[in-house]
Amino acid sequence: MKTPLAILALAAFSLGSALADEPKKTRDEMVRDDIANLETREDWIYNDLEKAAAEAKAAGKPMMIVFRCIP
Amino acid sequence: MVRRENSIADLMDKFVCVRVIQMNAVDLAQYQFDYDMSFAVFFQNADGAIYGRFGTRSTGPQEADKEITMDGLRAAMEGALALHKAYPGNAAQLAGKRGPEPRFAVPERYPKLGQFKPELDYSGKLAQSCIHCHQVRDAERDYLRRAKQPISDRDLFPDPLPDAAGLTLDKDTRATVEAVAAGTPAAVAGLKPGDEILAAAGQPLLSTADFQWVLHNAGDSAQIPLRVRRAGKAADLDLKLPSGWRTKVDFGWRTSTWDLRRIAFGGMKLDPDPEGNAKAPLLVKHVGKYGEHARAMKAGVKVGDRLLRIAGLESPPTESAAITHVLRNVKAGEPIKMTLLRGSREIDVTVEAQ
Repeated sequence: MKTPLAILALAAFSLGSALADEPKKTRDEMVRDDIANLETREDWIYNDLEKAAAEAKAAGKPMMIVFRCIP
Repeated sequence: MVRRENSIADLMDKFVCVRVIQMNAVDLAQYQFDYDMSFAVFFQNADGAIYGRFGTRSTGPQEADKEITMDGLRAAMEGALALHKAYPGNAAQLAGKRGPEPRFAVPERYPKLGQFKPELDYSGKLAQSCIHCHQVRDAERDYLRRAKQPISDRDLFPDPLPDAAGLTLDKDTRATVEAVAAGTPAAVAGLKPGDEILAAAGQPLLSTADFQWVLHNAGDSAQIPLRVRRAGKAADLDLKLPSGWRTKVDFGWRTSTWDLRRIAFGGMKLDPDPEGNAKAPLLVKHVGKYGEHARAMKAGVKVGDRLLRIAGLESPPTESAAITHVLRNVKAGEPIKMTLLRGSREIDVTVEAQ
């Protein structure tokens, strides 16, 4: 069975807020959660295309840039 | 993806992965894509050479995953890696993946987006400080309306899906033909299910989005050379698009259509009438209540009204057709005359075009 990509992406970017008994977060809170999650990861660069280009040049790798609306 | 989806984790290590959440300060010469996407991927070299795009939609958010799969993304990633390995020897083939010079270098220079700053407001109202992707398209159309210039078909019918040319592509592949509709340009070109479209207009294809990019930049009538692989052998075909091919597309699902409803209808949303009235096939599903989206409501339009004619067009068959007609025939500030059916009673309403 194929996994729908958008569902995976939505799940991946909606961070820890899916518990039904949690109070609903504001959009700002969700964005801040998103930033906090991404900034701790070494395999993703958050919102910095210049840094990404410099790293790609140094490593000889291509860039994969994901434009994904804030949660 | 952030959690390293297993099916692409091995490939992600071969890329520098970047997450961009806003369009503020984004280079519009470099990053041209279907701005109605809420998920879009760019593959590129560090020097800016674009290998391809990924991300396709044809419906609203309820079915946003209809045209994309992890298998399709994996295929696109593998294709991007192959292009990267061959670069810069293939630079000439990639040149068409970069779009024309934009009107403004960055979105916040458009008048409609002038209140936004290049940086997000991390210490204040963060979400409100963000320029969303679809707002770029809104801003371009707004600019043209303010300048009393026509909105081109390219701007009104952006990034057509392959079905505009009569074919569908297998979403688990880069660009393998899944079906061809009889009598369409794709059928006339000789495309067949199973054909792998390797290149269109000389550009190597990584995805359906790449094919859409080629269609997006095609003219009102166009001839697009295709390189296909069929049963292991390469063949060259010509996809001939007749005049007006683009304008049959329904753009009602697009987020940016919301602003077109403000411009063309004073904020009402039209849906097909479930009762199928041929004389008035469209039903007023919603009327805006705030700001410039409330003009239809203030003029007397109500939910449940049926549209008989608008700006001289009788019985528009789709909302897209009605919007297109108004935009082509009524300038900003001019009156839009509508006749609505409320029950059995005809009502004339006038709204000022924006």
